[in-house]
Amino acid sequence: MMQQRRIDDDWVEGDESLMASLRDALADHSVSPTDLEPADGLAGVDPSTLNRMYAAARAAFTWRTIDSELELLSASEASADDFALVRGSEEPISRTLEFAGRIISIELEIGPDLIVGQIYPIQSGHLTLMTQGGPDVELESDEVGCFTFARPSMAPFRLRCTTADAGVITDWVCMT
Amino acid sequence: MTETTDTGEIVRAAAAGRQQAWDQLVQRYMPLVISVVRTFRLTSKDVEDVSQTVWLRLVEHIDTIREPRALPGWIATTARHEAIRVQRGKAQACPVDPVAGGPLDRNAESIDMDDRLLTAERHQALVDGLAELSPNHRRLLELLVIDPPLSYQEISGRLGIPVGSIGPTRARALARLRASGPIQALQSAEYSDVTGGGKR
Repeated sequence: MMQQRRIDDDWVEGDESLMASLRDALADHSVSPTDLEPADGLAGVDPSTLNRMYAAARAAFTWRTIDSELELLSASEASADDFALVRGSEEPISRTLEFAGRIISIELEIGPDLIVGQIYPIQSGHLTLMTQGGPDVELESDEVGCFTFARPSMAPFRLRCTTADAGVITDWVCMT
Repeated sequence: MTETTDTGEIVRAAAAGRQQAWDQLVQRYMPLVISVVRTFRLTSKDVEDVSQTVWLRLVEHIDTIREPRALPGWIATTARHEAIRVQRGKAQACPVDPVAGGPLDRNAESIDMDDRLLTAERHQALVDGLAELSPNHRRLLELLVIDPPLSYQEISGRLGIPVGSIGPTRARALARLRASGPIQALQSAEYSDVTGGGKR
């Protein structure tokens, strides 16, 4: 299918074209990569927010999981696409995320107030909900692997789950 | 100034647990995160949350990134996915074009979004490529794109090189920039998009 592209495909072909691209790039990146502190004026974000973002991003490094016993699970992208189907409905918006692991998988439904989840294949497990700002919240699932957390006030969050068979930890999920 | 500017070394040092290397990555790629995220209709708080999600994810995935050249693409894609999720979550009803009175053309909007994302990635590749050039080449190119423009006389004075060598040096610097890793990586990614997905 032909789609009209409005941006230049020859962005590095020809010296004048490359110079023009470079001029735009340096104007866009008012923060030079060699600057130690963020300059203000990165369009669209005010300087105090920007400073907070840099500080939080640097501090993210301390959240590295050293525990190699746990399998890291990423949310499947298909669930994000499914979600598009409910746009415009009158129902309260909820998001379904699937985290597929080698031995166990977790499905989460994130509603306005609750996070409801299920462990597959069906089995009980111990769950820990982690946020950056608050204390961990721990609970046991029921015998068929269902669990419910109050939705934390802080985003993002992640979930650790250990069962008799396996231990997994999800990627961070942005909840806002 | 003993710090390396090579993305691969910085990524490996961060994966080995060096906070200083991580800080360099944040410094270098936060503008990319922001330039991707700000193309969506998000509040300042949402921008912060999406940004933080990207960085927290990268912390966990840093030692699985086999090809450091792919890092800007990974960051841009993760930021875009999260921003889309957040924007969808916020949309309680279909957006309406206030001028035409009808629903927004979703297809036109998403093409526009793709363009802006691609532009952001290209800008990042150019900035990264520039960082890999020799200091002489880098300074010359930076002076040549200053607004308002400098005359060749002024550039000659600032860099201590003859006016006659500015043109040839510029040509060599641009050739190096074109051949730099970040730009080569992005071009091959764009090429595979084209061959794989009917982009043109």
